[in-house]
Amino acid sequence: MEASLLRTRRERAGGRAGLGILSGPAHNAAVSEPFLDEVKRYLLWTDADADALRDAHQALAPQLSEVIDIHYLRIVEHEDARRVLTGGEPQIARLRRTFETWLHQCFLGPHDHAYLELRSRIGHAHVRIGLPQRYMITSIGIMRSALRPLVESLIAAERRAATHVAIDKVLALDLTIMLEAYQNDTLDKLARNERLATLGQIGASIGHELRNPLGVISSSAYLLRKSVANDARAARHVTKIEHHVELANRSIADLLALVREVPPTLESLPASALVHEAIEAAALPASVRVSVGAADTSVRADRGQTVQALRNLLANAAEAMRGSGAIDVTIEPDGDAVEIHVDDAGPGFTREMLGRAFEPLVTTKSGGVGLGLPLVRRLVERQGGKVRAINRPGGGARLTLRLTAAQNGPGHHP
Amino acid sequence: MSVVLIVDDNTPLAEDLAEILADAGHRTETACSGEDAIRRVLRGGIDILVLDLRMPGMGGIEALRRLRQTGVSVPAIAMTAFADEATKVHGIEAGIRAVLDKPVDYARLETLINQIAA
Repeated sequence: MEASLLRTRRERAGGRAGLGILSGPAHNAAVSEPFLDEVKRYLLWTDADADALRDAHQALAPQLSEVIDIHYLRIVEHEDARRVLTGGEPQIARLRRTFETWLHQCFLGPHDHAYLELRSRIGHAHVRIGLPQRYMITSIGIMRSALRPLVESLIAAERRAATHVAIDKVLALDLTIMLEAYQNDTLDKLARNERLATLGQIGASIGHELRNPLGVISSSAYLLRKSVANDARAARHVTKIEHHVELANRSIADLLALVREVPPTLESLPASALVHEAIEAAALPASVRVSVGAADTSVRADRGQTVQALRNLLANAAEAMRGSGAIDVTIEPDGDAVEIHVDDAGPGFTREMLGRAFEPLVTTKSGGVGLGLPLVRRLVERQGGKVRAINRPGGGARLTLRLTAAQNGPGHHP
Repeated sequence: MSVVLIVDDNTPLAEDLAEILADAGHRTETACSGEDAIRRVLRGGIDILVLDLRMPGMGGIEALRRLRQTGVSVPAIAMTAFADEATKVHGIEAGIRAVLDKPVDYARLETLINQIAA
């Protein structure tokens, strides 16, 4: 069985041997039906278990909200677990409803493909919001503990043992399905790294090859500009050449920075200074206005890498707005971290793009190759930071860098 | 008027840079490798070197180090497409006045050459 499980996982990860550079992994692939059958067989799942759960549901249903209360109370009381739920009360209310459906379905079944799919979706949602798997595993334990006294008090003595066994099996089944989501996520990451490594080797050599002719085009355009000083039409074309050489050079620089391992040099730096430096470096068109709402706080970061990451976010925001509109940058301390948000007034991300915004070679821009945001993630994660992308309720996208707050040093304001 | 030797294995680029610096009033020559640059400098008459750090065979830093070992101390400006800090520090330790990232900022190159020539 183990070999078969492994094979199934490899297939889900995109068939590693045949992984194309551009095809990418089977991102968040669904857990398959043979997998469900396999796990059920391993658990010695029988129709009698399904019957025991259905029968128990009649007696337990009125008390299940108590189990849910215990579960969410535990989350709310636990500082680290609570921090994962960044959406506050509305998110908890939403999750509670999903949880309620989930718990009733554990008892009522049917434990079929639709059942499998819902659990798989829940698992992927946990991965997406960054819930460490330890909380999911311990939550199942908490639920088992909460259900046990209910079974003892509400289920007839002759059915109790069978009910306990069936509850243990269904919780194990659910945990296994949801852990598969984490497993898939890890395999996705491995496949992505593999893709990056291949892309890096090819890209770096092509990038260097292209830099030579681009250098010559650039130097020739510089010389040509002096010759056409009195010819407005020719000068306009020289400007176009220079602009597009600059774009090409920037793409190559992004690619090389993406694949090159440059260890960060961390120092305490005022966040607003980094933002202003990035605004200057981004050289955005005059039709793009940037406002900065700056909290007076410092981050522990690598100056060059953070400025480059912020510059890419600003360029991305400007491109999302087709070169015209307002970008709002806000700096917000959050516990031991500082978040820098870059809000644009563009169309926001599509549902599919939202989860893939930081993956290499994923872009909606006709002229882009999708290296800007992956580079942002690379630069920020190297420093121990995080990135995330969301759509703002009022429209437009918000991209956030989360960096470690500076504890000491110049510019630190507790 | 200074004589500037531009060393780059990308010959068309070296020729363009020579033209840019000639327009700025300097006499220019080109070389396409570290070995070629050493031979030309040892013949005499070169006032300033502009050289690529990475070239097939001998790179710019190695060429400069060998020249220094023979007692030649021509001021040098380096160009590199691999502008990480370690390379820059390494280059400056070898006697390089400035390291320019590729693609080269031509106006800055002219300014640096003029400063050295002054």
